[in-house]
Amino acid sequence: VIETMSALAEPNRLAIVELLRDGPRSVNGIVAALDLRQPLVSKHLKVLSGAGLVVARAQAQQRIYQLEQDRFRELDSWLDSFAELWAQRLGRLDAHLRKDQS
Amino acid sequence: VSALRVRKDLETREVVLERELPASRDRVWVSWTTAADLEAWWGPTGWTTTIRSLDVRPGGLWHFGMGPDGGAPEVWIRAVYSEVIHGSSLSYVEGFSDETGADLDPESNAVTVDFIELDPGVTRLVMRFRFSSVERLEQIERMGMTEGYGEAFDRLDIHLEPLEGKAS
Repeated sequence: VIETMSALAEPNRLAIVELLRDGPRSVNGIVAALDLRQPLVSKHLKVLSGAGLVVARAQAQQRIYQLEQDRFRELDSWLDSFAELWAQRLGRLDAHLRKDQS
Repeated sequence: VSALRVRKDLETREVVLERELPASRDRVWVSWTTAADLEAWWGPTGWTTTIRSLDVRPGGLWHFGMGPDGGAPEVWIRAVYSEVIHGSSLSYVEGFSDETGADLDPESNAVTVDFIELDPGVTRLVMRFRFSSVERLEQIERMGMTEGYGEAFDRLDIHLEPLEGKAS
């Protein structure tokens, strides 16, 4: 989870992830869509694939990048356990408020 | 029993929680801004919350410890209020601390709690959490596990909204 968060902390990497939500793209496709320089895009893709957020596959002469769902699921389940903590706490607040009415 | 609604945005690392509570807006506000009330519900079950400071105004300090019932606090939290709109909204930046209230956590995170009266005696609480830092998250995760321990499982429906745009 921590690694996922770090990888997403950089605005251009977040933009790449958001772009890939719409579907897989080649490096050139990402460069064109985000108006970033190709070496920069390649650098960010390296960090994102290192964190397991994107995966690449070869297609003809190109590398096509797409989102790796597992890492997002992990982050999602961490946020669920955080929400569970608050579900319990607000359940206690609910009970506390009912108590002083009776 | 009212259900907790959870909205998660994975990209921006923001979580919004909403829940209705069976009391007036003023009563719910008091439950968040007086020490005796907070100590009564903050929990978790089997743990005691000890409030050292609760200065509810912009720049004011909210400092408290949490520990097993009958024992000394094991975890200290310090929050500084950034915005207080009496009766309707509380914003604070929270971080880990110690018994003296020292700021030990430059990687704190921002919370906003809105109090909305839906009907007389029914108040909706809307909480927004923004997770900005990696170290902070690691600590919250540890803390979450601590809290999970010994907590009698309070059955509440957690309705999770489907993750938007992720499946493709």
